[in-house]
Amino acid sequence: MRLFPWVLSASLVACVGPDAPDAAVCQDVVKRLCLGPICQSVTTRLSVEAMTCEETLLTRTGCGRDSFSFTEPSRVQFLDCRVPLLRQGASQAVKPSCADVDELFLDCPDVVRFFGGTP
Amino acid sequence: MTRLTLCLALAATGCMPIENTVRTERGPLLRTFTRPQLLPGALHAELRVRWPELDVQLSERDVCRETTIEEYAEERITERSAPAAGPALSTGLATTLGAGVLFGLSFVMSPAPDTTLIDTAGRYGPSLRQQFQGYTFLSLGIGIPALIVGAIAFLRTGEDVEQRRVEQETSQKEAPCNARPVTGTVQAKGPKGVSVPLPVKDGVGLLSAVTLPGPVDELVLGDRPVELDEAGLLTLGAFSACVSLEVEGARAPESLSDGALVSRAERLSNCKQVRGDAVLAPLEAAEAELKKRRESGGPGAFAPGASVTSFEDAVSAYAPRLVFKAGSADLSRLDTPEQLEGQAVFMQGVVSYGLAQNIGVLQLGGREVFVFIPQKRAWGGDFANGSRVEAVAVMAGWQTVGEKTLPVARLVWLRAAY
Repeated sequence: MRLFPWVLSASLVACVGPDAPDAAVCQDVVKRLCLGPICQSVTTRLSVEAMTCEETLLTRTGCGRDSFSFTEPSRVQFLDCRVPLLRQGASQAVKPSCADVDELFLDCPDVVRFFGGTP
Repeated sequence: MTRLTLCLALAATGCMPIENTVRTERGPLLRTFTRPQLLPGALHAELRVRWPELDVQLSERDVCRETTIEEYAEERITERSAPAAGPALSTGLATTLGAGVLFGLSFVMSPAPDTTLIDTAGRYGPSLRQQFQGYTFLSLGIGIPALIVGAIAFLRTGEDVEQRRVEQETSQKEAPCNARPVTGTVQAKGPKGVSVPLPVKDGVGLLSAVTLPGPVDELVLGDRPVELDEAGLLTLGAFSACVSLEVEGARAPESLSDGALVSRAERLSNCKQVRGDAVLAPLEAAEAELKKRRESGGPGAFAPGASVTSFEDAVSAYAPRLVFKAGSADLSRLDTPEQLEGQAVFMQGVVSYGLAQNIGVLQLGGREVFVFIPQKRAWGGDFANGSRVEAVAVMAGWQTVGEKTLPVARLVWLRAAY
């Protein structure tokens, strides 16, 4: 008799995997921001070069290490701020629009500071 | 949740139509028997005339009915079928088996999550194993309900046989029975409001013609009519004819109009059945007068004004005020010719057929009228059947010749019409 809800929840569980570690989440955002052609707001607000954007941000944030974990901003806050970058697609190969990047910078000054930029 | 699931399952089975086909097969004859039945009684009277009295034997009789019944064995077979049960079962089996295959294959697939995707909640994409197992559950979600629905529908199919006995009436006989005498006061009723009490004790009553103001044609006890057989009806009719003649008194046939004479002759003939030779003389006198009038055209043929010499003279002398021809409003007056006796009329129509030398039939629109043709007539000419004629005549009531009873008129003048 409990078959129906069990089937439903099992099907929903099958749609997602385990939680990604903080380092992977951070690296995902860095990759999206630095995907060329890089937006002008990235170079100006985060003070990075287009050619060395990814290495610079990974170094600044420390999320190149597997042991990285979010403190300020928190993981939840970071994930909320990441949402505009997924509007063009969930794949990391899809570049976010510069308007979505600007929205991230505007709404999340903590994230800008996290990446070593000026809010 | 359990109730919801149960409701969903029941609703799903409700979508599966079950077709019922009922057929009846008659088996062998089991027995033949008769069933007696007693129907409520009716009043019955037997009549006998001992002039001037009418003996009434009144009884109440039931009707005993015997019905012959043949009893058969009969099978009522109800076949239930669900045309969609097969497809539902096969769909359920296929998807459930498919789910099993997917579930088995899932263990061959990689359990590693898809690290190329991180969703908005920060989770990796599902592994291939998870995806296969998800498809497994989806297939089960389709297959198991289909299996349940198909199985329930399949279980509901089948055949019910109801055996029973049926009766068929083959014949019926009815006969009066349980005759018992009746005591009470019967009302002897007749036309013109005649109603005379007739006391009946132990089934015997006596109705005297002396006390009757007129003929009677019906006997009633309370609100129950008394049934008479054919002989009883004839006896009552004859008795009533005698009563009518007694009330009317002695009349010379020559003094009667044609209609009254015919009526009297008929009543005398009827009365003769119970009084015999007592009315033989007046009957013969009436019949002789009738014969005389048929041969001569009746006394009206020689009435004042009859000795006319032309059609115009006839119109002038008789001054007919009624016109009988096709479309004439006066034609409806022919329903009561006894009220027109002695009145002069103008007729225009077609000679239908001559019944005798001195009598004929004229067709006037949709009506027919007998016409007496006097032996001594002033007009000439031969009027064959179908010829159009017009006439001046005097109405004389009803006339019966053979089985035909029609209004009758005595011709004063007849000529061809154009």
